[in-house]
Amino acid sequence: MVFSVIESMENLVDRCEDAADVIRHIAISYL
Amino acid sequence: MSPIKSGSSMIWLGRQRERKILESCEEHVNKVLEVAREAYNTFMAFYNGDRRGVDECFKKVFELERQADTVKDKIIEELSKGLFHPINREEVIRLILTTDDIADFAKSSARRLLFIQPEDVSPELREAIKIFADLFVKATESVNKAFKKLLKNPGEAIKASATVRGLRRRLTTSGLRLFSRSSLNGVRSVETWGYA
Repeated sequence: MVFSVIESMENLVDRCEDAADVIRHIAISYL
Repeated sequence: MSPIKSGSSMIWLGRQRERKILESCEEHVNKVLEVAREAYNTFMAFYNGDRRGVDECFKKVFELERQADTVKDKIIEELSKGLFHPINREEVIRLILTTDDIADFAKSSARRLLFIQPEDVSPELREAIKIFADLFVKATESVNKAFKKLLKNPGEAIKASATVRGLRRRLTTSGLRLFSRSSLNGVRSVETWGYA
């Protein structure tokens, strides 16, 4: 169970990275 | 005046609407950050062995995540009405759904703590949980910062989004270090975590 908690937190950081990628794409379209 | 708008004014109108929608997205991104911060508080309560604190913080996480969902639904409804270039609409939806996932994972990871007694967890694992919680709240704060810069200075937003990648690398390094410790061997190997 503890490892599934850590796995969820890892997934969360992965999604943060995905969100940052989308922000970068939108930002490029505004330049 | 012609009822048919020229191509350039259509593009201009589309851009204006996109900006307006992005401003609404700020409310969602802020709510997601609140969820992550409250999930972090849940983890800190767990780290400190405060069972009641875990329960109380999780209730707040649950409520905040519900509020984030309401904001998300409003934005998606708004997106379905207006004048948008399909590619831009797709990017905005991707942004909302990805940030929504952040809130979902914050809630699900905090919820799992309800089923674990802090005293049953080794100090090494509690330390691992604390390090990962520090990193996830920093990553969510970085996404929030990058998004806010997007509305004011797209160039700065590109730089700010790179910070998140750096945090992801730190998480991988921390995971490697923690899960290769001999005290954790036999529980789950480094390879099964995909760090090898």
